[in-house]
Amino acid sequence: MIRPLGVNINAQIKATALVAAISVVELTYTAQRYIGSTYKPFEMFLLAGVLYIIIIIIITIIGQGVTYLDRKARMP
Amino acid sequence: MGLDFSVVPGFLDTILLGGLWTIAVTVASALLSFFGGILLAVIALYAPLVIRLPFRFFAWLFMGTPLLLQLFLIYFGLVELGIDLPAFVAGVIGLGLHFAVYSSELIQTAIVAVDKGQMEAARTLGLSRGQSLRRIVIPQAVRDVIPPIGNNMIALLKDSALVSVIGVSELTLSSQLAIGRTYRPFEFYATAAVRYYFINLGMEAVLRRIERKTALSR
Repeated sequence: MIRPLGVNINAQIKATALVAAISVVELTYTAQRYIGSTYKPFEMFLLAGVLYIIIIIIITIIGQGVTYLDRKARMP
Repeated sequence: MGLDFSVVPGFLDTILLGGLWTIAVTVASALLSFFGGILLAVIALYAPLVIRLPFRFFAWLFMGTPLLLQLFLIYFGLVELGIDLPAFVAGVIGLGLHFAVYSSELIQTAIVAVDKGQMEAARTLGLSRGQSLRRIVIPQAVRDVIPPIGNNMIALLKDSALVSVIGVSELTLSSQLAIGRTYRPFEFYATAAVRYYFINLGMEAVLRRIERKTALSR
């Protein structure tokens, strides 16, 4: 139950980039704004990608921790 | 104010053209993701470690970042490296690669699930390793994996709306253009939703046909 939920949370984090299209100032939109002043799209989007990956790694580690605790709690 | 759908028929040509572009983007990236997925699966399972590791890393990158960001990077970012892709090509590459990574995971498990005896029998009959993989193992694996890949293709159709942000005038962007002329967002987005639904129904029918055809050969 907890593992598939973790996968869904990761998918959801990636889907949050979509709100940039309606100009919510999140990671992708911020990157776009800085590109407007620096004219460096490749570097900025790459940086945004790295930040997304870091968030995903943290969430995955938390998910694994929760799974571990869950398994431990179930032990008879 | 109230809703007024009578403005919609005036933009019939824009709307139909947008629908055609959506279908074009979807079909092109579906093909790319299918064959790219098979290629990635074979690389992930059989290539030497030196080739396999960078590919796994890139697959991981593609799975860990949003598709929207990948499209931005391919369309706006690659220009800095001197690669100036047309919006349609950039969109198809982004969508295709993103879904190829997901398809390759499915195909990998299917290749592993094909009975070992198939490969052994093919080798005994004198086929080389590559031949038996290409002619015996992969066709069986692909047949098993067609229903889940069909689900991926339907997700791909819906995600094809994302290429509107890099300026491919498909269904969503053509609706936005019509809205810019008429200031009637609800009407045009509602018709866009209905059109996506009908394209999806058509796609489902095609996929079911393919599923039935491949299931018969069992």
